[in-house]
Amino acid sequence: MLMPATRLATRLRSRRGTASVELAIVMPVLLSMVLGISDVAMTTVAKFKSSNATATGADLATQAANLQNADMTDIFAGALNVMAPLPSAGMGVRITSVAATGNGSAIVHWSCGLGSLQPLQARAGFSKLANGDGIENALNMSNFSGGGYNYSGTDISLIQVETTYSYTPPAGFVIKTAQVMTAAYIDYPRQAGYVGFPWDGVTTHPPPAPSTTTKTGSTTLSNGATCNYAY
Amino acid sequence: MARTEGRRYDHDPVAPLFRRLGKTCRLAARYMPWKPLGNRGASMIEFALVAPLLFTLIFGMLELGLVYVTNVSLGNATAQIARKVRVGQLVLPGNTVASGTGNQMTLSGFKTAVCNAIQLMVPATCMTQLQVDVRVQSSFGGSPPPTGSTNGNLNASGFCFYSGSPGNVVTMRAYMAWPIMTPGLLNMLSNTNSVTSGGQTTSGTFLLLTSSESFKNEPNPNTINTGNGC
Repeated sequence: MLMPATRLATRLRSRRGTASVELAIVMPVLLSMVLGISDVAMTTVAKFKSSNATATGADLATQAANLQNADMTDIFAGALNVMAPLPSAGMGVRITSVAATGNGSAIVHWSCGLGSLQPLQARAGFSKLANGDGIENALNMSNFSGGGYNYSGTDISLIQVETTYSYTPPAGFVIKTAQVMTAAYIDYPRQAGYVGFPWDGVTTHPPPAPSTTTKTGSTTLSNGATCNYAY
Repeated sequence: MARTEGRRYDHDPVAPLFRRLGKTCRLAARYMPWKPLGNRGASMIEFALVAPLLFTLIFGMLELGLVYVTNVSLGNATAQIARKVRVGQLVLPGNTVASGTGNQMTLSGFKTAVCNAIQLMVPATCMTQLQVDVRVQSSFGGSPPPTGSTNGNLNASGFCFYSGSPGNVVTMRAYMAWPIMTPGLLNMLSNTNSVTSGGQTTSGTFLLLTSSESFKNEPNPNTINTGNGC
């Protein structure tokens, strides 16, 4: 009955401590789940906030009929405010006004880029939205008459805001590298067919309509953003 | 059973002797300091030892999930209310409804609406732990609204509840101090230990959730009127 047992064999046969050993085996899995939930949730919240900031930028930009440089700076600030309490310093924001010229095509009316997102070239043709959809799905591109109605595709526009945000969960238990999240949002001007930019603030000097522009210019805002515009 | 019991003492040279003694003499067995009672109950005791750790982990997971669902609910609720305020559907105190259809909304009404949107907290504690700051600013890039939390204290005494007139830029922030229920691990995440509101301070272990909205009141003269400020 007495077996020639070595200490190792005895240890292997012993059932004492099985619960502790089992817990030790599953502990890394459980712990990484808890800490992983924390990291993933923080990142999800960051994504939620960056989408919200994008929508806020579009909402603020489309509310005006004409924008001065200071207004544009403030729109960027309003969008970045939404990121609180997360840091907004490294966020890239691009606000672009796309206008139909009436002949079936659309151009970049003006475009402002902050941080890592560069502004688009003014007066350049614009065919695809940030989500890959054709611009013709979002904007009435041509002038035509039919069924007793006249449709005007001249100088109507939409404003597209794109953001890119790089976020590293502060705890960094499981997600250790920066997660880059992008968002895009389109909105339509509510006060006029298009939002004029840049405006000198004088009521009798509104910026020219997109279809009448021939030249391009560029300006830098006080927050460091660069704007390209057609005039 | 007999076989396993026989094996159990193999590693202990004295054990079989004790066992033999126990079998031959019942009296000796009774007063033996070391009794062959078996392994039964051992794993239960072991589980009792590891259970606190295990349950902390499980409840920690559940609570973390709840916290972040609340965080997103808070963001959604503030976004919905911010929209109603800026289009004039809701009018905050300090403003009067001129001729439109806007409804007055008090601070407690606002909190109730947000708490209802969250749905995961007891309403009574939600009303204490939720603090709201709505203020008109000269510009978004101007002086920022007060941070809700300083030195781990969420203090509502400097907060406003005023949405201004058409065209004003408004920053709306909602702060929710989530009371951490799972001890241990989650306490590490706590960043707030008291909430001060209306002269009363509630202490606890809280995780501060913040939601922020920026908007400009729509030019709707019928429903939002100029008020006196914060």
